[in-house]
This record gives sequence, C-alpha cells and structure tokens, in this order.
Amino acid sequence: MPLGSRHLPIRFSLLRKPFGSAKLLRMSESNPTSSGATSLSLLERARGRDSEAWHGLVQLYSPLVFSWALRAGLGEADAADLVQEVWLSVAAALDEFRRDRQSGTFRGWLWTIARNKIHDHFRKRQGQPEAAGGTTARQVLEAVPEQEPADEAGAEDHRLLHRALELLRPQFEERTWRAFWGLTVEGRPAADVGAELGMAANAVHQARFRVLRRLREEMAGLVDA
Amino acid sequence: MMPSPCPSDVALDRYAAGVLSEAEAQTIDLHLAGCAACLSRLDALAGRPDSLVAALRRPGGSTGPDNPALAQAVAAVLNDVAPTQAGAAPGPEAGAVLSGYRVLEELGRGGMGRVYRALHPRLGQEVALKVLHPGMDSAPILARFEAERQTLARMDYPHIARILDGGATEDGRPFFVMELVHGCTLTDYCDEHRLDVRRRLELFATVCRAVQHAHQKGVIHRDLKPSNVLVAEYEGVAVPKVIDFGVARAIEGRSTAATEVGMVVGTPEYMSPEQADLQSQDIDTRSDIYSLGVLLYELLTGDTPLARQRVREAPLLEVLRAIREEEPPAPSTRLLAAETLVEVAAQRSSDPGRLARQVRGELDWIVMKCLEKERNRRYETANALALDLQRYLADEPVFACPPSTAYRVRKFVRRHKGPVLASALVLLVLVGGIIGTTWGMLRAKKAEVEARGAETEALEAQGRAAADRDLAREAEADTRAFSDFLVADVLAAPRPAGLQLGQGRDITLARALEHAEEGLAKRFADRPLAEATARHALGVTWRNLAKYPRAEGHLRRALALRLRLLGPEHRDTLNTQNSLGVLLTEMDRAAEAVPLLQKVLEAKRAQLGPDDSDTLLFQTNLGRALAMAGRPAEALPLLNDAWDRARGNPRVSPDRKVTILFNLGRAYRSAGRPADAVPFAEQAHQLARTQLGPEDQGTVNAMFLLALLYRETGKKADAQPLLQEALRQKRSRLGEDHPGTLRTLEGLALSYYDEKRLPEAIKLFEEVLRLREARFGAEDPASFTSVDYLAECYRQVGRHADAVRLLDIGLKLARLKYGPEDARTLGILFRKGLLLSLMGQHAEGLPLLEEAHALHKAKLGADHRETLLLLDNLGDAYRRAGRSAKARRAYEECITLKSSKFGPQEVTTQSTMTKLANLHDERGEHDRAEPWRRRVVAACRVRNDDGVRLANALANLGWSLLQGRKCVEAEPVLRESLALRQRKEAEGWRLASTRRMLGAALAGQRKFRAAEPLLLAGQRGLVEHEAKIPDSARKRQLTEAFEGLIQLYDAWGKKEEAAKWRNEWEAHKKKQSGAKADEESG
Repeated sequence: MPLGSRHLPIRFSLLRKPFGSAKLLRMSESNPTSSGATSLSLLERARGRDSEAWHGLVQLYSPLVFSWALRAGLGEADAADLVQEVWLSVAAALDEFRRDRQSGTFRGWLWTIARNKIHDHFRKRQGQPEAAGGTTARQVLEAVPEQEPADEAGAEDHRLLHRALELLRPQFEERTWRAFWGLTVEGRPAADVGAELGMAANAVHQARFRVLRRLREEMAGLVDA
Repeated sequence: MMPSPCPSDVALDRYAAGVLSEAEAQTIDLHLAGCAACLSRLDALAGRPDSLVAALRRPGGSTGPDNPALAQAVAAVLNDVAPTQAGAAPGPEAGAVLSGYRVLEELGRGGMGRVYRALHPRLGQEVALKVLHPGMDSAPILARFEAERQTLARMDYPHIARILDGGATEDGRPFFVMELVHGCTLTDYCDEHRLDVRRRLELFATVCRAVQHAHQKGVIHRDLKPSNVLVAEYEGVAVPKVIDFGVARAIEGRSTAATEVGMVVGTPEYMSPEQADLQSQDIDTRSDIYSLGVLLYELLTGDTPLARQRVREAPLLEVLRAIREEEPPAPSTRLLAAETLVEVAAQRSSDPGRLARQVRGELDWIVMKCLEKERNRRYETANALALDLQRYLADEPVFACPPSTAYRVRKFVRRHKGPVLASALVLLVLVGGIIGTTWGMLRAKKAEVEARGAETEALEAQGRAAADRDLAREAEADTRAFSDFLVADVLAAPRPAGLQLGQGRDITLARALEHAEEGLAKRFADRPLAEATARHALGVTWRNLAKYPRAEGHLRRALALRLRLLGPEHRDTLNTQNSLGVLLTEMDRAAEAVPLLQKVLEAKRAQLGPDDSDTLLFQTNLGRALAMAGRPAEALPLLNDAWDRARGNPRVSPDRKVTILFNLGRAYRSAGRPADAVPFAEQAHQLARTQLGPEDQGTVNAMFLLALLYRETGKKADAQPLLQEALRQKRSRLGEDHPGTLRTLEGLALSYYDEKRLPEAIKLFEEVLRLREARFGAEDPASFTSVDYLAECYRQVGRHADAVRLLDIGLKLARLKYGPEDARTLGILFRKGLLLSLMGQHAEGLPLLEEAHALHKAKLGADHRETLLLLDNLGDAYRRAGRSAKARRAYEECITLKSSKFGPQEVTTQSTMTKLANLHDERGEHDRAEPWRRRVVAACRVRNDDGVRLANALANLGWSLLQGRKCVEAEPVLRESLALRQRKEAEGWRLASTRRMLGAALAGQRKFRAAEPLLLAGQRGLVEHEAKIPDSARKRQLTEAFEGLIQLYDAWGKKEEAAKWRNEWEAHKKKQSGAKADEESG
C-alpha cells in the first residue's frame, strides 16, 4: 500500500507502541530537591522514548493545537481529528526535530505541522487536487496565516505553564507546593504564606526556587522563559 | 561559624527566578536562614516577576482539555501514538513508487530529509531522490522550485550534479530528483585517501570552478558544505561534484520563524555573516565564496573556523552572532592550537611542523580573504579564488596580501569599516606608535617604520589626487574613512568599557593623546576637513572621559571648521553640532545647548523624516537639554513623541529605545513628577537588562535612575540595593571619580539621608565632595546637591558652623549654576541667614535674610507666597535680634499684603497678626496687642471653623487683656474660650491654662472664692501636662500658674496658703533644673 493514502478516522495501529502500557511508569526522579544534577527536560525525555514524557507533551500541547484548528475555522470534530493527525506526524518526526540549536521553537514546529494539516483539510474539503495550483485553492490557503496566531495577552503561555505545573505537582510535598503557589502564583508576601503554612519565610522562598527550577528544567526548550 | 557573605543581587534574582544550580541554591538557602536583610531583599525581588512568573500570574482561564471532543482525541493519542524508533519513521521503503520513481534503497539522511537511490520511470536511469521531512510546507517550496527550474536546467557542468525533477509525495512531502553520484563527501575523501595539501587544493580549485559556472548561470548555492560536495572516482580519477544547487533556495522560506531557519540552516558552520544575519535577505554569490573559504579552512586544518564543537554546544543565536562578529584564527594558528594536530597532519601525509609551515603565510591569507566579514573584501568571484590557488600551486605571488600595519592596528582595536586609506595612515603616524607602546601589542619602532612608508604612499596619493578632480573627490572620501576610523576605532579605545565600543580606561593612552593633540593644528594645517574630523573625534572622546573643557575646545573648533567648509546642513556639521549640544547639556549648560540641538533636529527631520532612528536620537538629545534647562513643558511632549515613534519601530535599536525611555523618565523626574517617571524608568531598566545585558552602561544608568525614583516615590527599600549595585558597576567601569560614579554615590548618600542615617550620609556626601573637588575643582556647580544636603545634615546634627561654611559654598555654586535670582539660590541664601539668626549671629544673618527677601520681591513680586513667607521669617529674625521696630514693620507689611492677597480672615494672615500681637505684648504694649487679637477673634467667627482656633484666639485675647489688667473685659472672653475647649478638647495644658486665666480674671475682680478652684485646677493641669507644653511657652505658663495662686492668697489675706505656694514654686523650680541637669549629663 503506498504511503500517505490515509483514511479517516486515523488508524493508530499503523504505528508501533514501543513501550507497551507505559502509563504506569513513574518518573525516576521523585524528589528533585535531593538531586544536584540537572534533569532532562520533558522534550529531551520524550525524544529519548520516555513515554511518560511523551504523554506530558501531548497533554500540554493538545489544547493549543485544538485552539489553532478552531481558529482556522474547523469544527470541533474535525479539530479533534486534526489533533490526532498532528501527533501522528510529531511522533514520526520527533527525532528529526532538532532542538539543540534554538530555544523555544517546538511550538513553532508544531504550528508548521498543524498548518499543513489545516491546509490538507481544506484542500480535501473543497475537492481540490492535492497539488497546489489553482486560484481557488490559493485563496483557501491564504486564509490560514503563515505565522502562528498571536497569543493575545499571553493566555496560551499561561495555560501551558499551568498544565505543566499540574504535571509536576505530584513530585512535591503538599506544603512545598502551597508555599510555592502562594508566593509565586498568588504573589503574596513570603511571611504571610509562611505563617499560614507554619513555615519560615526563607523556607517559602526555598519552595519557590525548587518548583520554579523544576518547571524550568521540565519546560526547557518549550518556553522562552 | 562565620556567616557567609551576602549573595549579589544578580544571584538573588536568579534564585527568585529558579535558575541557579543546585549547589549555588544551597549556599543561598543556608545564608537566608540567618540573614534577615537578604531575606527582605529577596522579598522585594520575588515581588517583581520575571517573564515566566508573569506568565504564570497572567489570567488565563481553563488549562485542561475540557472540550469532550478534544479530551477524546487526547485519550486516543495517549493510547495509540508513541514516538517511533529512529529509523521507523514512515518513509518510502524499497519497492515503493513515488511519482513514478521506484525506490531502491535508502542512501542516507540529513537534517532536511532522506536520500534514496531510485529508478527513473522512463529513462531507466538511477537517480538520487531526496525526500524532505514532514513538517515542511510543500506548496511554497515547490513553487520556488518551479520558479527556478529553468535556471537550474541551464546549468550543465561536469562537476555539478544535475537536478532532474521535483514534486510532492502523496502525503505532501516535497522531494527532489537529481543525478546520482556514487561518492563520499569531499572532506571524507581527502582524509581517507590521506591527500596532501597540494592535492586537496587541486580538488578544491575544481570545486571553485564548478561554483563559478553556477554563478555565471545565475544560481547561488547558499548551502555549500562538505556533504554537498561529493567525490566520485571514475577510472581512478577523483571527480568532485557539487550537489543540491537550487535546493537551499527552494527550501528557504520568506518567513523568519526560527524553526524554519533552523531547519534550513542545518549547518551554521558554513554560513556567511550576511546569512547569519536573520534580518538580512541580501545574499549574493559572495556568500558562496565565504562558504568555500570555510570548506578550504576545513580541508587544511580539519576543523571549521568557528569550531564545530562550539557550534554544537552554543545556542543558535550565539553561534550566529559569532559568525557575524568574531574574527576566526588563521588556519596555521588553529593548526598549532589543535590537540589533534598529529592526526590532522597525518591525514595530509605530513607532519605537524611541515603542515603548519606550509599553511602559514599565503594559504592563511587566501583563506582569510574568503572569510572577510565584509563581502567586498572577499574574492570577487569563485574563479579569482581558484586562480589565486593556482598561483600558489605554481609558486607565483598570490593576490591575497598580508594584513598591513594599519590593518593589524585596526584588527587589534577590533573595528574596521573601510579599506585602508592613505589619509587614515597619516593618523596612524600620529597614534600608531602610541598604541604600540601603550599596549605593547605592536613594537613601536616597527609600526613607525611601516607607518612612515605608508606616509610616503599617502603623499604620493595626494599628489595624484591634486592632478585629477575625480581623485580629489576620492581624497574627500578618504577623509570620511579616516573619520570613521578615528571615531570608531582608535579614539574609541579609551572610552569607558561598555560605552560605545570603548575598550576600557587607559590612562596611558589618554595621556598620550593629550600630547598627540598638541601637534594637531600643525599636522592638519592644510587639511581643515581632516582637522575637523580629528577634533570632533577627540572632543567626543574627551567628553566621554568627562574632560569637559578640553572636549568643548575641540568640538567648537571642529564645528567652526565644518560650518565654514561644509555649510550648516551637512551631515558632519550637524553631527558635531549635536555632539557639542550633548556636551553642553552634560556640563550643566543646557540652556546653551538648546538652540544648537533645535537646529540639528530641524535639519535632520527635513533630511531623514520624523521616524528615522537618527532623527529620534537627536530629538531625544534636544528633549533632554530642554528638561535640564528647566523647560519641561517643551521637553515632555518632545520626548513622548520620540518614544511613540520609536516604540514599535524595528529600525530603532534596543539601545536607542533604552536611551529614549531613560531620558523620558529623567525628564519627568526633573519636572518634579517622579511617579510618572517610574514606569518609563522601569521599562528602560527592563529593556536594557534583557537586550543589552546587566553590565551595560545603559542598564546601570537606568538602574540608577530607577533607584532615585523609588526613593522619591517612597519605595525606599527598593532603591538601596539598586543603588549599591549601580555604584559597584560604575566604580569598576568608570573609575572612582567619574561623574557617573559620583552621581551614584550621591544617590546612595541621599538614600541614607532619607532614612535619617545621618552619619553614613555625611560620610558619603563628604566623599563625593572630596572626589569632585579633586577632579573638577572646588567650584564645580554639579556639587550643589551634595553641598546642599550635607549642610542640612550638619545642621541637623548640630554642627552649625560647618553647615554655615557649606552653605557659603552652596551659595556660590547655586549662583554659578542657577544664577543669582534662581529660587534655589535664594533658598540657600535664606537658609544660611536663618541658621545664623538662630545661632544668634544676627549681624551676619539679618542682611542675608533681607537680601533673600529683596530678591524674591524683585523676582516674584512682593505679594508672592514665597516672598511673604520670607517676610514673615524676616520679622521673626528681627524680633529675635531685639529689633522690634523693624520686626513690627515687617509684620505689619506682611499682614497688609496677606490680607489683600489671601483675605484678612485667612489662617496665614491671622498667624502673622498673632505674631505681631505677641511682639506688642512682649514689649508691654498690651493696648496695641488687643486690637490685633480682636481681629483674629473676629476672623475666626467669620470663618466659623471648628472652634479650636476660636478658643485659642479668645484665650490669646484674654491673656492680652489680663496683662493690661482689664479683668472685667477678660472674664467673658475667657469663659467663652473655656466653654469651647471643654466641648472640643480633652484635658490638657491648654484647658488648664484657660482655667487658670479665668481664675486670674476673677481674682483680679476680687472674686476670690470663685477664682480659687479655677486657679488650683489650672495649676494642677499645667504641672500634670507640663511635658506637652511647647518649650517657648512652658516657663511662662508655669510661672503664671504658681504666681497666680500666690497673688490670690496674698490678696485674699491667706498668708499661710501664700507661703505654702511660694515653697511649692521654689521646690518645683529646683526639681525642674535638677531634671534638666540629669538630662544633660545623661
């Protein structure tokens, strides 16, 4: 069967699952404060076939891809299909995405893939031949922006980071987490947060450092910050 | 255990942001556990979110896949999709057919895609099939490929692999079909066959000619690298072939998104500086020349000019910057430094010594000529490169030449803008030797000899120039190049590090320049334009070193020359005029600068348009001068406009934006609106820190401004760490006594003053003044602030004589700086007079106060609020000096003016009336006091205020009446006062005092029985609340309380009671003086 003659719904079985039921795997580094070494980022682990990391990546970015598709004018069902297609392509080419030269470009790469899928979608919709050419096709294509849609007021970044935090949360003690949250996300004074949790102010700052550092490690290559 | 040293702001900042290493963080953890000061610094830092934390705090809404369709899709992906193993990615497999091409086997894979051996459908010929990775958009790639197809087809050359076809796979991945080359990459081939240098060069020259052919057909490769130059052997002969012509062009998008660049780039090692500039789309054949140079470098040394390992490890943007800016070592230098030299030499069938000798010299020059950052310094064509290599192989002299002395000097100062030119060499005679001796870089003698040779050349060039008009114009261009060189290179060197190309302070060089410039006029006697250029550069350099008078001399002379020779509209004239304006602004002579800068801005606006980056800079300079000249109404709109135009303008560089923001903040500050200035200063600081780096001059300046603003807007805790950091930076970069450092030191002193840490403030202010005096002399107007505040510090710690001495200096400075009639000058005059008056030195103090008043009166008018305040104080001073007549006249005049200006019933008017009444009472003129007191009472009734003022006014009237023995009249007045007080006030000395006075009024009417309880209660209350009574009134109040009782009992005939109260009174006085003595000794 020639490649590329795909049918919807997507046949996931085309792809091998090298890890079996990987959902039960836990990250080895459950206590980041005791470790002096820099741990691998989510992206690096995903590339290294860590299925937990792969799942993290999918959970982090699927809502974003979904929102791109909706904004491009796809219906919810089509957008959901598109999310699946995008991850299929990502899974196939993750090795070839070279992150080491640049920072914060995974999303751009994802957008490029998503945009192509959106193009494909419209081509099919209109019964156009797959090759680009005719003016009608071009009009449709031009409706999809070349660049990733602007993230007004950084709301996407915010959601992305909060999803990432949710993924990290099990790695921290509840008190550490709440200290971090109060000081960093809610922006309350360390002394207040500490008083509430029965911690010294310096311990609250310490919690902030640990969680932020972990977040940065985890998101290295995914966000600019 | 010794406490660990406090971490720097930067370290704490990084700790708050979560970007330190674990080890560093643990050190800080430990330190914070025991250092409250750092903890509060950290609190402040944690409150200012960095971009990550800011993104976390931003409102965002739902975070998860709450849409059911999406949730389902995510679940499906999690269940069924996982990244495929390397090699398992879907791609055509053997036997697959792509657009008719039958795939035979995979040959290899690279950053962009995979290459297969395939069979052409009709020709039956084997071809190479290059299929791009998914994720690349096929349509534009194919469109570009189609557009170039005709051009590509015209290339027909044995050493170029032909492109045959292109298209898209069914799933939209673009592919290219080209001639199949059975071979390996050029570098691998050379190393595997241990080709010596000569054979490598021969192969390489062939490659050059292939590139030349493509260039002639109008095709630029854009991605020349070893893997795109394959070597195949045909009958034992090595035949290099360049592949992928046209592919890079097709893949390259218009988009500048980093992803796409990253994908296309793949191999920045071979990229030319102009390609490494992502903004630039201006690529021509000379980019290929550069890449050929890299290839040749690698063939000779085994590594690329920008070492491969570094390219792998450094972030992309850093790599691109290095390509654009860093000068690579010559191949022979790199060889000698290489750890793998033995191996590299062996691969070239040579040994280390022989290989290095072989490469050193001409081959170095040839390679480095290819690698010039400026492409017009490279070989014009690939053929020229090939020919030079042939000349080398034939032992003929090559065209590439060794760098001249001038060139080396310029390399040394790391800037070079134009070709080496005759007139620039004239300057080198001047400074070449200096640089040599200063840095020990070039041996002075050698430089001199070579420069002398160059000078002869220069003179010859001049001779020819005189003969030919065109050449004369050329000489004019020479002058400009000389100017650029002088400004940007040689003279930039002693600028402070971090400031526009400066290399750091070098006193030796600065001194050497001082000597050199003595001969300037003679040197340029017949070349006035060149003289202007030199003087402009010297002026700017001296200005940056804060040698202002010297700078002014040069700039004025340069301006005069340029005005005469070039006219007022010429670019150079305007530049000098601008530099002079900036200098005058810095010298605190902004008023002189304004007209100069206005003209510059007008001309530039007309020439460049209002949105040009340079125009905006000149606009900022003018705005700053206006602000410094005390004309905020003009400065602020101008600066705001500059910022509006610069804000979203990509052509305005970040450091210009910082400059504009910084000056906008400063202008608001000097307009007395620090709160409005804060956002601009914060923005400037933020932008500078992220775009220019934490150590940049712009960052430090913004930090300092921000600190001052925090201080002035009450965020004093935020100010100190910023100030200390800024001070540290400035000290190390500018030196101890640079004005910038001193301003920062002053800022720190001010912040101590704010916190009432007077001893520390005094120490720092004294240091500022000492350093300033050593550098700028005792009468430097910029010392004013420190003088002013130090005097105030002295006054507050009781060092009155020192305060007066400083105010003397301050007065002189203020007169210099602001003029004799400026409010600040008068303020100092006034304060000095007041201080002397309070010290009892009336003879010295009174004239000053009189002068201050007279000047105020002349300047602001007699009835200006400030003038009246002074007049009031003048009255007080007269009164203290016992000059009652003058005091009375001053008060009376003051009352008249205040009555007509503010109205007779106004509080301020009444306050002076009360003073006048007090004066009369003091002199026993109670009758004259009474009418004033009555007017105050009447005014209070008119104003109908809260009653406390009326109660006071009534009490004062009552007192005057009592003093005048008008007890009958006093009684109702005091009763009313007492009733008001009982309603309005808590028990206190005032209530007690009024009770006592009413008692005295009754006693005076011999109503002893009624008077007694009031007098007793009054006395009790006054003793009880004694501490609350103002110093000036306490003694009188207590005396009257006791003596009132003694008089009562004397008049009543109760001798024993009278005697008892006499004793009480004596005892109280004794107790008082005892307590006082205790206080003084304790």
